[in-house]
Amino acid sequence: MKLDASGLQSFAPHRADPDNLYPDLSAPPSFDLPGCPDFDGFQKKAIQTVKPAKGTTTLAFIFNEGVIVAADSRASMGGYISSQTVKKIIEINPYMIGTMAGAAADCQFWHRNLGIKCRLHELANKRRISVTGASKLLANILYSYRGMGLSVGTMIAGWDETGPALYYVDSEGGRLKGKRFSVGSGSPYAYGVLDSGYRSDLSIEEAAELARRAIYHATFRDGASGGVASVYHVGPNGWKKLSGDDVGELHYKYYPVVPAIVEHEMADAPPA
Amino acid sequence: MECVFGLVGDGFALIAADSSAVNSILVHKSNEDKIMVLDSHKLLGASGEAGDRAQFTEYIQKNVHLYQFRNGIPLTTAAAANFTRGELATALRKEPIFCEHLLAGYDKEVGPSLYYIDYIATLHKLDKGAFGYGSYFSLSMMDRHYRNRMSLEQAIDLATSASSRSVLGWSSLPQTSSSRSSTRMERGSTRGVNPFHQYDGYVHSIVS
Repeated sequence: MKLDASGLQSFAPHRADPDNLYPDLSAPPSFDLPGCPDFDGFQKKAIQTVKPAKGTTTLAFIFNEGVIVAADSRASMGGYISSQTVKKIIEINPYMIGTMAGAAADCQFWHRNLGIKCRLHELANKRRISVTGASKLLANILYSYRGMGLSVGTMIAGWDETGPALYYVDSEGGRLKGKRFSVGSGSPYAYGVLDSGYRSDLSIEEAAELARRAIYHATFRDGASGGVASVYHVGPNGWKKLSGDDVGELHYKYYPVVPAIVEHEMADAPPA
Repeated sequence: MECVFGLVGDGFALIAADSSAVNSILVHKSNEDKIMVLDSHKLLGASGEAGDRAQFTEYIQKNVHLYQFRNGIPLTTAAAANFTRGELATALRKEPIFCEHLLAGYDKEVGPSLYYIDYIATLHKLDKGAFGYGSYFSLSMMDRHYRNRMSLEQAIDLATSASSRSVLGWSSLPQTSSSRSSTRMERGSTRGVNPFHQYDGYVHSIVS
């Protein structure tokens, strides 16, 4: 049995090789599925053995000066922290970035795949793909694999001919256009900070600080989030990384240690 | 919480749907339009799994358009309802589509009509119908206050009051009604919702 992976195919047509030197080159990609009688059971066990990395805080919002995207950098497998230096903000092209929540492999793979599709669109049409188009490309692929165990919760943010744009896309096939999103286990905490501090007329510095604070507070309350809070900005000239701060250091920046007042000083008893 | 309902009035049919996009305890968005405009005289309100809803209603819309491009005449409302039912029935034994639909439309020969189509592909032609948790309120409100040949204004009033109870202010209502000449969309606001969230709604209507 072969898995139909035609979703991976680029939409630019392959040129037929006249000499047929590489017959497999133009064939759609596919790979063998395990030849066991109980495929569902096999898949469930396989997922248990290689448990996907989950637990994240990511956020993005549109304001007058563009889009701000921020995320933490922790990868965990259940209780075990497998990395503190994950790049959860994925650069799709110079004008578009995606965020990563859910299974790391699924997010990385499908964002890379989306990057390829976007570049091919650019070559075929001599103009960059819109964020609307790119997010729909991803949502359609994820929807075509629904029920097969993909775990992706992502935001696609960018600047196109229509200005700043932001979409939330998940592996259940959901795709929402909006001004403000947060995804991941830490998202309720991030939303709390974000919603109370958000205005559309924030300056870039204020917006970046709001995003940083939101990520910091999420990492403080959510055990599965932590590491470094990185903040990106997307403007008319493309994305730029603004900062990456260790949340441990942010904690002491936001809440400096104040010297405790000594109430009772121990003193030697006076000699009798 | 998620709710779609609709009713048939004098020379029009109306659909109302909430506009919240909820993921377990999180409200991701409060201005999501869940009513798909199929063509100038047909509206498809849907509630159910987010992905299925977006993909399936767009699929139906594109196929309704395709039919019109190929044949030069639009599908009747009854035909569009039967097509939708057929697609759900086919999907039911493969990968079921978990969403429920209300299709409102206006045809020259038969006037306004409303069709109820659920995820197990049941098709009913009704005067009034509802899906989702909000249906517990809106159905009884409509049973009590619905009259034959209501005016559009009365119908919108009924739709608004039927929705004002609907689930603890978690939802706002974009409304859509369909009648003779074209679909109309107006922005309105909902009442009786949680003061913490200020939601806006939409009013779509097909009017002669």
